[in-house]
Formats: sequence, structure tokens, C-alpha cells
Amino acid sequence: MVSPTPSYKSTLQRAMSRGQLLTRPAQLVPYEADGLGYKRYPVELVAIPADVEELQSLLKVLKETNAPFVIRGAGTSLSGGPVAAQGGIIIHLSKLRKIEEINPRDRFALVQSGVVLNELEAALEPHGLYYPPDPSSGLSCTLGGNVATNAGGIHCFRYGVTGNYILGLEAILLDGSIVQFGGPAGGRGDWREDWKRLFVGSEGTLGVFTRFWLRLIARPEKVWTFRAMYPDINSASEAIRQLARHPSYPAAIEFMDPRSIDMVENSPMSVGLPRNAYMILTEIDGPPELVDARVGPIAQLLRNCGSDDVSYSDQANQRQALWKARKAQGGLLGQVSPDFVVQDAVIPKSRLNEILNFIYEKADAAGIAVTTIMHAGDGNLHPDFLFDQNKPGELEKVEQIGKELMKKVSEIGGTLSGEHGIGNDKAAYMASHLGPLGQAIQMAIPRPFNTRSQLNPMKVFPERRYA
Amino acid sequence: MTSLTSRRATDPRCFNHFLDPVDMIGCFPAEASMAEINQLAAEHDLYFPLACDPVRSVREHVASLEYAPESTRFGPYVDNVPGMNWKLPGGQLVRIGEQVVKSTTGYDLLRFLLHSGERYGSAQDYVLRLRPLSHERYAGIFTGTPECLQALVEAIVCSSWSHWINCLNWVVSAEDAPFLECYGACLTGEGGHFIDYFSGLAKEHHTSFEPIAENPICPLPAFTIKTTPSQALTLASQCKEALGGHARILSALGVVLMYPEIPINDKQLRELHSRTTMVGGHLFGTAIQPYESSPKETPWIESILNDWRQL
Repeated sequence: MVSPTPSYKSTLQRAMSRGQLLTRPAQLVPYEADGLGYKRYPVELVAIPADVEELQSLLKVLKETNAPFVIRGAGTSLSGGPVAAQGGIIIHLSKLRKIEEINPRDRFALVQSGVVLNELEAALEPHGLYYPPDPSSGLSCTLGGNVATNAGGIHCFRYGVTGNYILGLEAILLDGSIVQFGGPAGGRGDWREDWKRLFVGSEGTLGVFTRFWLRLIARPEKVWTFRAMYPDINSASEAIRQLARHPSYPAAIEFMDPRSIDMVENSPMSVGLPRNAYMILTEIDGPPELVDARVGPIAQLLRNCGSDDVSYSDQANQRQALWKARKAQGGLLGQVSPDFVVQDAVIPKSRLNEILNFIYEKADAAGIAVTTIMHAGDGNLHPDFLFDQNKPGELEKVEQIGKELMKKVSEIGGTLSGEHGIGNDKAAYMASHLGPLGQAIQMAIPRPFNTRSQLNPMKVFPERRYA
Repeated sequence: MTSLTSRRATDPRCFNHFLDPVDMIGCFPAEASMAEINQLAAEHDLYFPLACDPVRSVREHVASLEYAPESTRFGPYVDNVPGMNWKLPGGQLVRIGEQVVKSTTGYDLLRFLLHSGERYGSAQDYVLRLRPLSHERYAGIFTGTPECLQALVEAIVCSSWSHWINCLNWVVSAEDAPFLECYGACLTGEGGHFIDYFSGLAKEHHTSFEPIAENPICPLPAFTIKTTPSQALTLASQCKEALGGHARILSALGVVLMYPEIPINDKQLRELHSRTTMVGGHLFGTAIQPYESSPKETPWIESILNDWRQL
């Protein structure tokens, strides 16, 4: 831990006249953890600047405080991103919530970094415009966090992830200067290099996001949702392969394993799914003339792969019913278990069976419950490990399984994170995944922007410590 | 290149050449031509959609353009190249990115480096994202007044048909009034739906639609302007007036592919640069010198390069 200078509170108060400084222990508790909650990091103080101007003043004086600091949106990270891993100050951007412009002609939105994703979605709907990245925390997560982690979601198989929709961004650097990379046109602007691309997914280690220019597209006119149940992993895997290659380009291809289905069926959210089955959910969208004609071939594809239980609909309420088990899964984790870890990895789809067996073997041997869902179109796997950190040794077992899983994922040609980022939780695996040369070239990136790692230390790479 | 070679690089993490038909992804030498890549991909009913000139290599494509005509549907190069084997300035070969299509592991060096020229080194191999090959295609030309065509473009890009159209390009040339070309691929039996949609739309907007047999050929441009969709047609028309030749505008993206008859001079370049950067755009291509580093970014670049040179 690094101790702030004794006068750091008065230094911060000097920079903030309109915003809030939270210092009472009860106020600080919610900021000690991220969306998972099982790891807690004490916070010295939380600053909530009233606007960009005050945020800039705050950043200018932070160097004097000798305190590490972390930028936080809604705190829904699942990888230990917005936590004070090395102690210090959290800057909460909840006041930067303005949607400044929606421009239908050039199809972009200019938003502040604290805008909640679903609030943007609601604002775009009347314009017939669509911003596709849709992490499951959309009700509360902010665009700043989405851009910091290059968040994905269910419909990213066809539409792409957050980074595909960032035309430009504005950030405050540690020297207090405001920079704009790109803009409505989505290019580099007056810069030689494409810094925008480097800042997206940089997990709050290069600068503090204040505004984004987001690319918008037309809303899909009609959507069909399909649910198919499979008796074994081989037939479910074949359905994933065939859907992913189908020229109807499904917008989403989701997978749930039998253990996830059991968890839902054993809960009040039960929808009557068969046990010991694998579930595939897929969606196609587009103009009615095209998608309506694709319904028959997609349903037949799902049956040909071995399902005798295929349901589908284009009606909103029935589509919701088809999605119910999948959407309930995440919320149930916290209800059935005191603690849980949502892992995130991307694997070659051809290795799904092997990886699932690996997860089951490791978890079963350790006596740890696990359920697995997957954004199957792009191989983005989320095994969820359920445990109780008050039971001695359980957290250590989960961490050991996570370590072995990430090693295995690297070995088979996958990657450590598909949409959650590395944060603090996976930083320890980076060296083995990247190798010495790969890590060295990565470590060169934050140096010119955040030389002493005062901003969000110990994230992405454990060597990034503030001292 | 008739088959993929198995090649061990100096860094064991570097990609071997491969083609994974399940994940629709492959690693190819930077010098492989687009025809060679698409020939290999076609064996698995796949293709790489951002090819312009079949005889030119991936490296030449990446050096010439960031957006190809089919970027309208599939996005820019940076969204279709998940990995590279990269030769650092000191000569070491290092893996950048992944061989899966989605990753948030570490800083996105791939997107930073892909079109950076040779300042930071050069790509030796590219991992490319491939797409399912559709066997039915449609293509056509819209003609009419610029105002009516502009309204038609707006109608298309604001509809969910736009997600299924590979190219919707303005063509601005000295010989003809601006017209629109539109083409793409679809599921077998769907071509008629597209032609019906375009014909109906043409009538509604007082324009004409004429189906054509083949996709128009779109060679590598001399340079590209990335601007806003609303600014693109004006800029392209002014460039065409000044430089001759013709331009293709990826209307949904605000990308202008320029094919001038005469080279752009410094004064014209400065003016164009000023107008595009004002809206966060830029100029790119083999006919354009890379921008000078701004005073703000020079120390950042030097810091990164110094670190990399010491490896």
C-alpha cells in the first residue's frame, strides 16, 4: 500500500468546490469491490467531480497527493478493474451522464463517459438508431467502463464489440491536458498515430475518458429468436459450427451447459427445460423479406444437428420467454452461492468439448460447483465458479482452477479475455500468455502516459505498481 | 502460394500459417496475394471480403487502404485482422494479437500498428478473419439527380437492409454525373428480394435502378479520405475537380477512395488535411506522406520506440 501525503484531503478539497468527497467508512464500502464482490480493497477516499472541468482540476493536483487513484463508472467490472488494488483514491464519474448529441445524419452519438448503456439505448430508439454492444450489465454499466474494457455482449458475434463503434474519444491525461483522438469522422484526426485504438480497452491505465463519439447503425427491423436443446456436447458443438458459418450471419449464438440449465430449473426462474441437455440460442435479424424466409432453413439446421426440441418466435413476449433461462443465469449465481467468479476466455470453437471437460474435471476434483455459458459464435466462454470464501480453502481452489484454465486456454490457441479485460484478477497470467518479448512490448505502452503507474496501478500487468 | 506452409518463427508464440474453417480464420504471409488467399479460403466455402485487387498482396492492401468497398458490411481492416507476426525495428519477430476473433487481452497493439507504416517495424504475416462465401450475388446501378440519390442513400442506410449490403458507393467521375453502385452477396434465392427492394426504392426516390451482371472492379486507390458521411460527397467532388480522375465513396462510412489523374500538391493536401481533421478524420494511402508527429505525441512515440529498440 502507498500512503497519501498527510494533507491530501485538503489538496483534493482545494480542487473540488462543486463535487463530492466521500470519506466516511460506510460511504466507502461500496467502492471496495467490483461486480463480483468477493475481493475487497480498502479505499482512502472517493471523489465525485461535478463535471469535466472539475475532473481536470482534480487530476492536476493528484500528483501532489502521492496517492494511487482509480477511475470508476458503475463498478460492474468482472475482472477487478475499477478497484483500488494498491489503495488510494477512487474517482467516480457518475456525474458525467450527459448525452450531448444524437446525430442521425452522420449516425453518431456524442456522450459523456458516465452515461449508462441502457439510457443511451433508450435515447436512440426513437431515432431508429442502434448501438450494438450489449454487455449483460447494461442496466447499470457506463460507457466509460465499456470503452475501458472494450466490452462485448450477446450480439457481438455479428455486430462487433465496443471498439468497433468508437469514432472518437476525449480523455484527460495525467498532465491535466485534454486530448481528443478521432471525432465524428472516426479517423485519427490531427495525429500521426491512431491513439484512439490504443486507448480503447486500456482499462483506465492511460488516461481518464470524458467523452465518446459512438458510431450508430440502423436498428434491426425484425428479429427471430431460436432455442434448441441438444442431448450431447457433440451435437451442440456442431450446431454452433454450422450457425457460425451460415450466410444468414446470426446476430447471436449463445450456449448453456446442463449445469447452468439445472441451476435455472432448480430456481423460481424455472422455464421447464429438459435436464442433462445443452441449450443453443440464436437470433437472426434484418428486413422481414429476408429474415422470414430464413426461419425455415435455420430451424432445419438446428434439427439436422441433432435437436428434436426447437422453438422459435418473432413475437416480443415469446422471444423473451426463449431467452428467460439464459438471462436469468447471471442473476442466479449470486442467489445460489455466497460468492462466484465469472471467468472469461476465448477459445477456438473446435476445442469446446475438450475445454468443457477440463473445467468439469478440475472443478469436480476440487469440489467446486461450476456452470458454463458461452457467446458461442466467437468462442467467448464464461465458466462461473460458485464458492464460499468463508469456507477455508475454497477461494484458493477457485483461483487455482482459474490459473490452470488460463494456461490451458493459452496452450490451445485461445486468449485470456474476450470482453471483461484483464484487470487485477488476471494480471498474473499475462507473462505466461504473452511471453517475455510480448510482455515487454506491451509494457512500453503505458510508460509515456502514466510513467509511475499512479493511475490504476496493478491492472493488466502486476508489475505496474505505483511507488 | 498454393498451400499453407508450416513455419516456425524465432518467437515460439508467433503464428504458424494455418486456416481454421471452424473459426473462419487463417494466418497468411504478408506477401500472399488476395487471389491466393481467396483460393485457399474458397476450398472451405470462405472468403476474405476486403480484397480489392486480386494480384496485389495483403501487405499492399494494408499500405494502400484502411477500408475496402466491402467494409460497408464487414468493417475496416483493423476489425478483420485479429493478429500479426510483427518484425520489430531491432529485427525480432513477435506475435501481436490472437488467432481468435475476439480479445481484450492487453493493449490493442494490433489496431495501433496495422496502418502505422514502418516506423515501428513491419508485418510478416497477417491473421485474417474470413467470412462465409455466398454463392448468389446481386449488383446494380442507381442514377438520378444528386439530391434524389442522396435521399435514397439515406433511406438505405437508415433501414436494416443496410446490414446486408456489401457495397453502396457513390461514383464521382469526370465523364458522368455522380451515380450509385450497389452490390453484395446473399443466400441462394434471395437475389430477387434485393432487386425488388432496390427497384421499389428507386421509384420512390425518382431515380432509376439498373441491375448489372458483375460487381464493378475497384482497384487500390492512390489515397483515402476518412471523413463524415455528410462531408464525403462534397470533398470527393472537389478533389475530382482539382485532380481529375474519379472517386468512389463508401457512403455509409464517409470513406472516399481517390483515383486522381494528377498527383495532389502540397497546398491541396494541406487544405484537404485541414478539412478532414476538423471532424476527426484523416488522409491515408501510398500517395500521401505520413503525417508529421504533433508536438504532443512526439515524446510518446519516442518513449515507445526507445523501449522497443532496447529489446
